[in-house]
Amino acid sequence: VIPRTWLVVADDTAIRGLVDVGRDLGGELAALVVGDERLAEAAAHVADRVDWMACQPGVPAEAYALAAAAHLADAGATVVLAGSGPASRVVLGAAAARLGAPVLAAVCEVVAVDDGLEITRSSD
Amino acid sequence: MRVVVGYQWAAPPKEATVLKDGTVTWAGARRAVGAADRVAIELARQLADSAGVRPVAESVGVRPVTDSAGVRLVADSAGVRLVGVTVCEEQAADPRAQSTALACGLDEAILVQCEREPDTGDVAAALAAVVRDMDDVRVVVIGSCSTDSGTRMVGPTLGGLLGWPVLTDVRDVTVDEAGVLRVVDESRETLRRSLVEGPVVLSATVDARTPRQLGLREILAAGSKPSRIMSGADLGVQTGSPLEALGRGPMDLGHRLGNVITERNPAIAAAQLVESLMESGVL
Repeated sequence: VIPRTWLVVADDTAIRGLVDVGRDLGGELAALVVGDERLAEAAAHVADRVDWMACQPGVPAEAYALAAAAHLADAGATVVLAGSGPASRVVLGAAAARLGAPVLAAVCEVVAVDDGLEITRSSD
Repeated sequence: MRVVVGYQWAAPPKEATVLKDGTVTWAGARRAVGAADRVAIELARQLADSAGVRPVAESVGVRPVTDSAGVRLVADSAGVRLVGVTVCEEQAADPRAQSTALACGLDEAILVQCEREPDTGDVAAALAAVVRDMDDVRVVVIGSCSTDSGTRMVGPTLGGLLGWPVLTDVRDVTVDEAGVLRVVDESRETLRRSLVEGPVVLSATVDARTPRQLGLREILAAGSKPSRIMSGADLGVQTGSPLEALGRGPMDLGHRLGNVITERNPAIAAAQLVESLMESGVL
């Protein structure tokens, strides 16, 4: 089963590592951008699909976390990849809660196998 | 109103033993309140105290204290209580998990026992259940990261479960007369100031506050503070991760180029680094 993989882009444009991990999973790679146009443009260069939640002036991206999580759930996301920036982590946490999914940090590689995902991460 | 602070009772890294083959063992390691969590407790303590300070005339019958300026103020402990919650496996449950945290400044400590070692999601779910059970929690404060796994995801996941906003990397939080929280956090290497009117989850930076030194007075006072133990089942929390550990091992560094820059002149070394990164396509 090919996972439906989404990237969360909410802090910075350096998302090459996320894209590499996401591409290894195969299938369409979608990006949910929560932030300004600069982030959306960066995502548009690397993702097959970009959904953009533009933040109101003066409103932090973190304020859109619950809405972003609902969007990911509605889109049927099965794998959500995010960086370690503050807004990305907040959106990822909201997504984990909404999807009832476990959260793993410091992930280096994700491979789809017959009965799930095989994940390699650096940890304790 | 209550302020809740989540804290971890775990062995600090200095208690780990690295064996000759590179594996890490925690055998015999002593647990403690996490260093980052002690900062969070102090931040939450000061927030609760500032929110609960009332002129003595408005709070007859509660313990008065005198501030440094000689004005009599009352720490209205009945109005704002600081409750600490820790989540750990049954084998790690220890009275010191609560008494130590109480000495750090809590008014009350709750220990949630899980059948197995809780992961990030389990801790967040247990904290969410405790917060929902209390019904009058306005703020949850979390340390910057856990002592062991350090995912920095408990706060964000907790916010998602509660449906509350989350601010991470918080350096300061105060409350104004109208009850609005003024939060200062770090974002993209800049300080950001936010106003929060409703309930919120905050995770503190490691330098947000200096934890208090624990003396005999704090340790003795902790003995008279309430504490209780709850089980995940009491709270309706189902612990059970869909994750299955397949193995552990040293990282494969084979994909690294292994280039080492030995130049001592910083400017030349930086130029060599940039050149190397450009050659390899990183820049």
